Amino acid sequence: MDKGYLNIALPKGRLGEKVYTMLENAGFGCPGVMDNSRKLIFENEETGVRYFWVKPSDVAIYVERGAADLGVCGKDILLEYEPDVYELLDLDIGKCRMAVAAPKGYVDERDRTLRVATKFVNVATDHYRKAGRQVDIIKLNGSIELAPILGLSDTIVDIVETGTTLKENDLEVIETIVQISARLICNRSSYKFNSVVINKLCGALAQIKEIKNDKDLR
Amino acid sequence: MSISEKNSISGKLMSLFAGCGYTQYKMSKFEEYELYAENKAFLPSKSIITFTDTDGRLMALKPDVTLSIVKNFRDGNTEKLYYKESVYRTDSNTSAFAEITQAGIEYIGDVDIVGLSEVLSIAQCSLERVSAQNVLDVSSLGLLSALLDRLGADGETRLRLLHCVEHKNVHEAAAICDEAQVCTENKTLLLQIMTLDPDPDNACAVLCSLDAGDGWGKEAENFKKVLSALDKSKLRVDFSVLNDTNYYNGLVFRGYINGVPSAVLSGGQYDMLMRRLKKTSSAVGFAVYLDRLDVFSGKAEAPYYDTLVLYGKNTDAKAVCEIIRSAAKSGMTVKTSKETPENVKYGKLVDLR
Repeated sequence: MDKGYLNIALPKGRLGEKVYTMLENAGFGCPGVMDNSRKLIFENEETGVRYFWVKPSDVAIYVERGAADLGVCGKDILLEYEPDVYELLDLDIGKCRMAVAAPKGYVDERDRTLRVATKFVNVATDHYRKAGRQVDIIKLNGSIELAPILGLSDTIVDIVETGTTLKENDLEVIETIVQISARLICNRSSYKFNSVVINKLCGALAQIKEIKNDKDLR
Repeated sequence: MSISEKNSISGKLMSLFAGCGYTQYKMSKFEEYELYAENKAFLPSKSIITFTDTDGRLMALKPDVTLSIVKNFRDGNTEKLYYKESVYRTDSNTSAFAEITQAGIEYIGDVDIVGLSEVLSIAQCSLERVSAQNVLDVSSLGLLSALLDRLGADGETRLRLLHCVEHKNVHEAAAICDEAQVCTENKTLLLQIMTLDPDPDNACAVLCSLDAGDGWGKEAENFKKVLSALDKSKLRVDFSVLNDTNYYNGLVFRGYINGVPSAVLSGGQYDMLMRRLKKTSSAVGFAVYLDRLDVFSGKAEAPYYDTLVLYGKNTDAKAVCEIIRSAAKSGMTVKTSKETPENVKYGKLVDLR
């Protein structure tokens, strides 16, 4: 952890670019971050921030372990891995939902164990435990939609944004588990020693979010 | 941080504890499993290494120190104890068992405001002995519980709100309050506590001015009394410090060192644990996680020896042993090797090849 800079882990991809734009508008810009280069780390001496792009699912690890002071990741990652970090702000972007989906016309037979395919084992286990349902969780790493089509599972638990992928594969949402959006997270120890700048950044981002929400409402 | 530095930190802590009138408590590496099975929620990791003793009893490699100390405590006494022990827990990242070294103190018996202040003060001194860049976060489970009672939050809602408080998740706490139809006044109170100015004077002024439930006023006054006895320059009030309310009550605290990503010190009042173990006394204590200090200061330095002795096939063993004896006598360090070792610094070279 380099104390000279505030280290911020951004998730690679569209969400990360949106987040960076918000940070830039909040006064924490850094030249070169949005350039399409192979460079991994970007520093701005003036604003005292250092950005790095990491795989979205790794952001929480970087923050929890203190390699990054702050980071942005989806609520799905926080629910699944439960990293010991502060969740300072809901950025209201990258909105989607964690849902249970099944083939169209699916009828749940409650007298037998439900087979559920998912990337989010902990979220799915917790959901069905609360519902008192006996389930066989099948951990997959991708193409979850294939599982019920090929008879590997009865249902799936996955992220649903527009629902297009489900529709194209004759699947439909049968239950929403939780709404998901991008969250600003912070390392516990970093917060103790950089609270002034972190609260400043957090406040500025909250303002940007409000302005954006107001615009969306108009 | 090198092994010798780490040892010296644990040495500094031990001398601090002893110097404050605490007595060293040595314990066996294992205990009967039953003790931990009955109090699993008190343990930071739920997995325990067990084995069957020769007499058929199920034993466990100690996953925690406090439980063993409390078990052996007799009501009617006041004991001030310190320890440096290994505990065996699962690592949350690898799910594999790990040996973790802790040093800490336990104050058990008639714990009053002075006793609480003393333990927190020693916690601050412990952090100071590790690094000048430290912070002690203090919270009150008594105040938080009173507030959640006032909100009428129980069961699942209470757990969800506690989770939000622990993660400074104000946006979701607000949403849960709305969902549970908590009145605006109570919701505002909760959010106010979650975003409280951490400065001890400012925080105590706010806490004492509020009336947020049964017993709040007395709790807030006691909280203020303890905090006013401490060094406030590195003290913060932060309600995100939480421990299991089935075991802990009153003050809970956590210590941080700049450069270490997680808390290096954790403690609190655990009167509820005492009751569960059928003790009437009160208790407070803390542990310093020595292993977490490994990441404290980056690069390890090459070990230094006063003398490096190089020997070959035909070297007389007596000559090598004489150098070792002479170094040991004069308190010098010596390393013998057949070849010049890499990454080793030395003062004098004796080549006997």
